[in-house]
Amino acid sequence: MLKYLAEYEHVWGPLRLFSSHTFRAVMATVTALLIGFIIGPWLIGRFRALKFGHGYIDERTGALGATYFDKKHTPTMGGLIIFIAVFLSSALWAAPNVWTVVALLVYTALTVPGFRDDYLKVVHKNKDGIKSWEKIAWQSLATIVALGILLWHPQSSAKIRELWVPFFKTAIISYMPWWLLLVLIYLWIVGFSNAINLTDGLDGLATGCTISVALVFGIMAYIAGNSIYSQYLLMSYVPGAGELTVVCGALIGACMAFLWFNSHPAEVFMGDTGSLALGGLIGVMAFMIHQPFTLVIVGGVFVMEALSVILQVGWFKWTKRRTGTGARLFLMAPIHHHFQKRGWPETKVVLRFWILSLGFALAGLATLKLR
Amino acid sequence: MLDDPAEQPLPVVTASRLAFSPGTLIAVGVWACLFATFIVLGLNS
Repeated sequence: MLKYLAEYEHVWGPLRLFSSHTFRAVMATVTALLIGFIIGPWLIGRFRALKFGHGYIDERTGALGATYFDKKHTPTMGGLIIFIAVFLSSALWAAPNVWTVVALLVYTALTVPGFRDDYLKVVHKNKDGIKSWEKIAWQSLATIVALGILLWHPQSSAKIRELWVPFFKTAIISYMPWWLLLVLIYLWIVGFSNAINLTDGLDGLATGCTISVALVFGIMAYIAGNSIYSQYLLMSYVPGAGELTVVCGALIGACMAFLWFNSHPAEVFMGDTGSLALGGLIGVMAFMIHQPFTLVIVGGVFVMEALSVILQVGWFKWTKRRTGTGARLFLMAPIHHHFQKRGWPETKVVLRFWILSLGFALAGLATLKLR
Repeated sequence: MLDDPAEQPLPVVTASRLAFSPGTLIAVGVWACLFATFIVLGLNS
């Protein structure tokens, strides 16, 4: 909201800086980083005092349980650190418009079920967390409210109906029916929400990969919101979407601060409070700047993790039906556990997945000029 | 015979319940006001 200060440029010239997206994005990053560093130790201390660790070894890790022994008392719900940092920094530095409102609404709406899930797990010692239908209900509510606002608001009602895909110079569908839009946005929000949730299995893995994705989408949002650059790069021009650069900046800063505490050996886990909401935020932002399919490339690690689970379960069921014995494609899914089972140390898996994530980010950026 | 130590209920070790202190409630209230302002300004822009 500090952007409004730019209106007083005639009073004091330097206030015009507040109209610059890049300046505010950098300031949002720094602010979120500082907020994260300030509230991080305090919240982690509170979580420890409240014994907000799982207190049990996740059965899904199977034989890897031994390596998880030290982690069972590490507090979770660290996603709250990211949420507070992103929210305060975005509210401070991003100009309120339909794009930023929808982004923060979806982020909030998905933080709630994530928080409830963690709360049930750590306080009530309920290993299953919230019921599947409740999670789906929250994700559906977030999607319907987001789409309702986007279709109702004059700034977004026509723009949101365009469907763009990488390598094409124009929109492949210029006016999507609302039901197709609903299905696609739902798939992206729910899909990436669950994909980041699955990726969040090793210290720093999901956070590090989120930083590279947010960096690329910050650049893309800046281009989408700029009439000159978007025209030059043959991308969709989305007036006002430049403000999402500031939200991405805040997300980068918050994740950097969180990574400080989440790096191996982690002092805190983000839990579902963080992972579900981060996926939803990234998914809806990709849609709003008309880059949903680019997210499949940029967020390649998340896609890979989700696919490994789908393939593992699918292959197991199929072979069991045909032969009576279920076979596995990977030693364990999600795929980061497969490499752990092959003997890679946790930090090696995480660093190599970060390298992959950077590669996917560069590949995503390369699509900008390949049209 | 609850006096018999063997029949005392086992202590349940669970995490503490979330205590919604006045500070937490004020923080949530401030956040809600901030978000409401952001939404109103954003949707009227």
